[in-house]
Amino acid sequence: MSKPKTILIVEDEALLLESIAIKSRQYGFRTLCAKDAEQGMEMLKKETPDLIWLDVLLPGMNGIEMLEKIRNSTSPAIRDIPVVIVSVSTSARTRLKAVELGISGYIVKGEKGIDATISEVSKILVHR
Amino acid sequence: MTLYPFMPFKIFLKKATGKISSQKKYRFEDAIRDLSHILVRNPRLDTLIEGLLGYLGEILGTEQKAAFLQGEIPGKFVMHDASRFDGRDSILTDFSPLIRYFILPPPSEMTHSKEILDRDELARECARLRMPPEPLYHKEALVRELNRLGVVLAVPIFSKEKLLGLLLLGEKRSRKPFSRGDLRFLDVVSHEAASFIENALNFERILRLDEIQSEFITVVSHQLRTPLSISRWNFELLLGGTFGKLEPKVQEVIRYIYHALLTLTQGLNNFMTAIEIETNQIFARLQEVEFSPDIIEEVVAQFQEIIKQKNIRIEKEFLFSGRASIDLSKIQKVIEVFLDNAIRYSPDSSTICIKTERREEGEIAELMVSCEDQGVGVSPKNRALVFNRFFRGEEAKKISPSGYGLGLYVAKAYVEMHGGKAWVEEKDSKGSIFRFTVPLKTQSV
Repeated sequence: MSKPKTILIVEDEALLLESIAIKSRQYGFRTLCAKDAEQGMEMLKKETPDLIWLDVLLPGMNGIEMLEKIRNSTSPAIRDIPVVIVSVSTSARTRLKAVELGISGYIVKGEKGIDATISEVSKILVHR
Repeated sequence: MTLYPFMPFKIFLKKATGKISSQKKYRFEDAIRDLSHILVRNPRLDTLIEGLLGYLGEILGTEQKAAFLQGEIPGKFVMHDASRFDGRDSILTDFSPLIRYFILPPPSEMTHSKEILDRDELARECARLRMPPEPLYHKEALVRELNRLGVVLAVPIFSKEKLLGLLLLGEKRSRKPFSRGDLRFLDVVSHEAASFIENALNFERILRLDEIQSEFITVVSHQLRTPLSISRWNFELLLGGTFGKLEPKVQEVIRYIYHALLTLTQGLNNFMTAIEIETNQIFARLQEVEFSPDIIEEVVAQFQEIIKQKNIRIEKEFLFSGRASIDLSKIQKVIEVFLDNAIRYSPDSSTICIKTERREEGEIAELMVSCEDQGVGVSPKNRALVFNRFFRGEEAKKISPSGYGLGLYVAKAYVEMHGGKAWVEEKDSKGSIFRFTVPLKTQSV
């Protein structure tokens, strides 16, 4: 059996973080959970996930800033991790900035059901 | 006549003022012509005032100058482009004798003054008349205020009877008093500039309103979407049994709340999208994709529960195969809106047919998607209106009283972002056919 793929979920809403993690595990993924970008960056020092699920509006460093740090990382393994932005923000400016930095998807939080959302994310992992 | 076609403003100003200062004296007609040039080419308030004051400063030989213009709060006049202006105030209110002078008529008069105030002239008048000061309006207070602000002239800018602001000018570098000719020139300037300043003030106000609207969209979207998504996803986990088996009655209540939440979420999303469409904040990001039946199956899957509940049969006729240049999530949203309407307005145990096909429109190859139902239909008079924002037909309101009338509006806008068309067609039997087309290759939209 192949090793399950790992998703790092960066989300500040505890209940949301828990529900995403539960559903992701139901889909067979291993999950790493970070409640803010700083914690997420710390986790990246120890482990390289297969995908990062990244919220934008986070306390302290925001998701776009974290994405920028990832893309400017000196480690190629971290620099190339696919990132999916999952945010309540539909702002074209945020979206463009994220696309410029390099993302694998931009999902508007809550627009689709949790199954449809995780399934969309899993497609990105499968195609990797 | 000298023309400065397409000349950068700063070069123009340098040339115009250079010519005048080298002549020591300005020619009235030339100055008015140059000034018109400045007024016409600067629709934004900051550059307009900078240009106007810069020019006046150069040709009249004054260092200190500032403009105080009506701000967002009535009665408050905000400083713009102050240069060597010693006054500490960045705002003048209607407590200032200067502002009061121009907005309140003096006790003996019916209307307020629109004349330029000259400090030296006022001071001379005060010395000559030696009259006791009047409580609200007296010349000594005006002289004190002009001294406090470190200026000699206050040029009022009026639009009809409304004071738009004041241009304040300090002493001339030569220390000479302003001549009658200067005052006459400034009087013409104040009349000429009024409509331009008013337009620029209105333009700034509109831009500010746009900003407020964008901020409002962002705040509403963030504040509402976060709790809605937390609730939606957790209700789904609850109903899916992730947190344990639910009692049938509890399950029924949660399902009911969940559907109410979905209606609210969908309404909010459509509402926010409609605002984004109106404010041009949304656009299609076209990518070439393989338009497989899965794309439609994914949308149909979202409605499985209601399809089962209403015992609706979904017929699929996927005649199109190939690649299409589309924004996939937006096209799926259009199909979702069509299917949602078809299910909502169809009787139980009826059939809905979804069809995809290739169509040639002139030289352009298109993908056409149709959704045909046996529902209530759209009356001929409403066919052109159903895609309008907030429109809801009488037939639709009878079946589903709640609803915002935004789904089809958003769907049509999304299709048009692709350079396509969306419409509803007449049907021989009961029901309606909603169709949309999008070009297969990227068009310049």
